[in-house]
Amino acid sequence: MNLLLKANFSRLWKDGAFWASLAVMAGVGLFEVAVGVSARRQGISVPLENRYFVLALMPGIVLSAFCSLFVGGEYSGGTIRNKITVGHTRDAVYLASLCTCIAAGGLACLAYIVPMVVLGIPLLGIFQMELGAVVWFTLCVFVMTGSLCAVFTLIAILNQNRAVTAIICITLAYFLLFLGIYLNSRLTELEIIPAREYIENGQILLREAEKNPAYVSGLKRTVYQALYCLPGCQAVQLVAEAENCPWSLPLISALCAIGSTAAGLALFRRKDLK
Amino acid sequence: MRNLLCAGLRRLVKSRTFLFALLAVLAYTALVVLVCWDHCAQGAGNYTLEAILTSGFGLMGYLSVPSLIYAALLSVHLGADYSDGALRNKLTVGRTREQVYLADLLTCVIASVGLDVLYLLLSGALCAYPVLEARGVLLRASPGQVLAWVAAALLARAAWAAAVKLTVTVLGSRTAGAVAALLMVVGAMILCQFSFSQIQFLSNCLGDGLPVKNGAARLAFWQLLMDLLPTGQSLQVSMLYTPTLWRLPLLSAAVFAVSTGAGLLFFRRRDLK
Repeated sequence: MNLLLKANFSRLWKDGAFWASLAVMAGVGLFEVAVGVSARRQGISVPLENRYFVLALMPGIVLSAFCSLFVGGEYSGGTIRNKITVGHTRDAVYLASLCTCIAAGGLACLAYIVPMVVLGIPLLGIFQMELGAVVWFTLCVFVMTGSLCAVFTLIAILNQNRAVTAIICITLAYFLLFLGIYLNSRLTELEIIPAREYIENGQILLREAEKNPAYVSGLKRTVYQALYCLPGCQAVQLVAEAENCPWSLPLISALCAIGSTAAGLALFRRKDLK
Repeated sequence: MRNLLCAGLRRLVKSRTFLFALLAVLAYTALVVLVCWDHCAQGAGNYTLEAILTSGFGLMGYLSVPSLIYAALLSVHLGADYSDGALRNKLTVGRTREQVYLADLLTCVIASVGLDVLYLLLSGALCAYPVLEARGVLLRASPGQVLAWVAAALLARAAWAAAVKLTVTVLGSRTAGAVAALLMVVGAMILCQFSFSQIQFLSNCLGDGLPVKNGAARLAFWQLLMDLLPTGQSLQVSMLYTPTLWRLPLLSAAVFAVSTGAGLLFFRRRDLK
């Protein structure tokens, strides 16, 4: 497998999609710093972590494109058959591709973090949040990125059509992200709308506390909470609860990664590579 | 060129990609209709039919779902011409490059506008009665205003199809075209969301008389950007917020003309190998 990894990494350094992914992540990092600086000039205080947390939203979209192009290239270039012909096992081929994608995902995250820290600290000041919480958030993002890479690798290696793979992966990434936004808005609804005063026809009236009809409860809430922990949706949860990320999130991500890798290995062993 | 157009449309309609796109549009329509029925039954929400119809161009003010579906459809359809070698065949039998480009472009416009019209008809037919029963009124805006919104959004869709055609022509590959078209959609959505937040911030500041450096010029810039991008136009229509509706068709026509002109220029010189 060492040889496969070496070959994959040497292909990775020459891959245009990889460098484009790094450039996009670094570009978004710089853009976020610029947004923070612009807001500060307008007199709005923007802590560095406010811009840093956007990191969680990016890997899904960027890596969906990268993984489908990189892994899909093995089929269109015919290299996957060559690897098997020279005696490498299918498991080794799969795991080598997965490791390469995870490494690329980690580097993509670093491409966001480096300009954010190098430029963000001098321009926006240091993190106002505890450093431990920032490190924990970053770790959670890295684990989620690995989990997303595992899912995208599974899709890409089981589908020989690179264009279809790209469409499925990118659409899935968007879907999970927007599902996360929707679930966040539903799960943060208050159960009781507090009593409030309002003015009507010049008179101050009091509206008593009432039950919120939009509050999600019962089995529906349990299902929503379970979906909210999925790797793509988790990105929104990580941003929303960045100051105190639940320990369960990286655990769920790791389980998803293990599950999708096991499924991928089982299916790839039986796949007709034509 | 009529033959080329007929052949393109026939190939598109028979393709599996079109079937998936059609199913995706139907699923999206079903989602909007079911949510509308649920809201009408519970008495939640306070919108009328124009909000349902314009949801075909964007959801919740920032999600341009149909654009994502059409991006996949158009890029795979157009890219197949390169991967299957159909493009060379067309030129070999004597068609000019302009004819081939324009026939493909018209196919894309007809497909995407046709799917939009399908959404409008289905959602309008299925939601009219529940909305009328629940709210007591079908439309709060005038029918002319609703027609103007729909027309502007359909023109924006045509301009957007021209931009996708240009992208696939420049990249010359099905996979690269699909990735670029999908990323273009999400990039445009994020940019429009940012532009809209800037417009709101600057409008509030200028409305309250707060000092903002070059406030009016910056507001005009962000509004122009929203108006210029087809996705921005679609999202404005979906929010029923179009402060400069009169110029949207003009800008769509400009985007369409520039994309087509640039695409034709590029395609004339392209080495098809």
